[in-house]
Amino acid sequence: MATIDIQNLVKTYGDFRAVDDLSLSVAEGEFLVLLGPSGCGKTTTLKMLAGFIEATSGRIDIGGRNVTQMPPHERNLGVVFQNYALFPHLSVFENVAFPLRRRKVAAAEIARQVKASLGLVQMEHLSARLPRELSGGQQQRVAIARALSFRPDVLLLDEPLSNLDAKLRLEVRQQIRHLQKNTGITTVMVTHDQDEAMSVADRLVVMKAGVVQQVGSSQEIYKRPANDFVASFIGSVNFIEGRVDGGQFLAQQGVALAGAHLPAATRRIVVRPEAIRISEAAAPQPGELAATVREIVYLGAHSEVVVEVVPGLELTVRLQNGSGESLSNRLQEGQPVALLIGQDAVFALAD
Amino acid sequence: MVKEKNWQARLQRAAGHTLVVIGFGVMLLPLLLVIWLSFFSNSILALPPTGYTLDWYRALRGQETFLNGFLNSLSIALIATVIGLAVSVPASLAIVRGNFPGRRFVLQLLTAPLTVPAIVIGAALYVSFIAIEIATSLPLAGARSGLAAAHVLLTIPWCIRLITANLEGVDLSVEHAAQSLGASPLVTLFTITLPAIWPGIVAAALFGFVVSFGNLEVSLFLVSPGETTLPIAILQYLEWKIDPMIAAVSVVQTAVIALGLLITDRFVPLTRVV
Repeated sequence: MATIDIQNLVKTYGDFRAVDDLSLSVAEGEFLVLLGPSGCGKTTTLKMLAGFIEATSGRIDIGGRNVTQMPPHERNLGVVFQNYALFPHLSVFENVAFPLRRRKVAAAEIARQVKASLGLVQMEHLSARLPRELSGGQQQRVAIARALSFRPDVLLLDEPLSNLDAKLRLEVRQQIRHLQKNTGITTVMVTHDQDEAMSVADRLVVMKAGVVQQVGSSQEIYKRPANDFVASFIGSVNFIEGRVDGGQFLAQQGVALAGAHLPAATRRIVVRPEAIRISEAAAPQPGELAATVREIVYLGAHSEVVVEVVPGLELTVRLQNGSGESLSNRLQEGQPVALLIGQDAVFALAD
Repeated sequence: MVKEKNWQARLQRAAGHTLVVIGFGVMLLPLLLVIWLSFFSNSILALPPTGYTLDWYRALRGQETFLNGFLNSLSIALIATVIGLAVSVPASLAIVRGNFPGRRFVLQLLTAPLTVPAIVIGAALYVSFIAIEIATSLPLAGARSGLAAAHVLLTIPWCIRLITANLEGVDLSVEHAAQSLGASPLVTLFTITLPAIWPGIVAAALFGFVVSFGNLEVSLFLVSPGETTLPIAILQYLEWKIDPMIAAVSVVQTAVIALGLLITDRFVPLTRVV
């Protein structure tokens, strides 16, 4: 178990700054997720933590040791790869035993620890198999067992679920979360999938173009995104341009929204689709907005309804699809509706 | 409509099968013909045979040129294969995993002998060896060491091609995994990388051996009078007479290579190798 301290980490390839002055701390036992689109520098950061690529400048401390220049085999980290990276010529048992053999652990102890590690991921019964005889989900579980068998200081996960199909992804994701909680190992995971990130992370780091955009819990980042990029990367959003005027937010299109809490300089607000209430009333109550339904997209558990408040101002509203006659079934395109956008659903964005 | 489709499909399948049969025929017919010829009793090869005999195989035992040629070819091929591998494995690692300028150039250089006609290589080496001999009085032309060195040149392109192809198939993350689990680069090489490319190394050894064992053009310039290789011994014999003895020698030579392949197959399935 260990803390991680990253200071002013930079990685450049020629003129391209893959990671640009990144500083971060990971607390002992914390599950930190680096999240961002491809090319944002999250994997490069993880590879520098693991020692697979060398930092251009900056410093990395793990468990109080400066590991910046240390080769990977001396860092004592467990790494799980997107493509599993099992040793194809070794059995499941030997794969998991590999780090123990490198540490000259006695044979009886190796057998015991391998069994325990495979037990953690319910793979004991397949220890004699070769990796190619296992399914993707099984291979990834073996890879996780291998990365934990030698009690590393830190666990690094590089897109561990990306190669799995949707159902398995959920299963392995829960398993990773439980293992992490039970072992209490400091963990850093890289992913481009925001659902995945939010479901496992104690803390999220959203990155873009090598630069950290925001650090915070899933809730903080979802409810209070620091900028446009974070807001749109995490969940879907409605952006509205305008200005604050007399305790209200006045949209460019001339519509007034509740906004007494907004800073006076606000030029742009964000409204989450699930925070807008929609009703079939033809005439809006005070505080409500009149709108017209333009499009209804059925998505299973919920529907997305696009409404037009005035020409040029369209909002997306998310409706839960309850059992029986739900509102989304009754709504028709072209139908007039009333919208309620509560003050707590509206927040300002810095540019 | 359905019937017509059926008919077309059947025709396509038949055409496919015919192609396969023709292909195998072209490959196997010469070999089968040589085996057949080796049992002819006429001392001048002619069809139809007047009768069959095993005499040519019996007579082989007395032919010291062939026996010596065989042993020479064998030892040269083994030496060339071992040295070729010793050069090619590290070179392939450097080319695929290394990160230095001119990697492509080194690859081109090492595989270049494949693109130059063997007869040109033989002639060029002969001239160079003579020049070196005159300058340094090191005996190279007509010496075993010179011949072995020339054959190393023949094995390297095959070894490099096969090993680099195998190495490119080994995911870098597998090596990274080994390192993160506590294996130094050297331990990673021996416990992970080399076992992973083992089939490629076996294939390289096989190809190198066969290319060297059967080579005529390069050897022609470089053998010393008393130490011919088997292909040269066969050529020299053919200059004087054409009798089924030649066929018998070829059958034995083919059998040795086939035996080698079968033994290799026991350790590394050849279908996985090539």
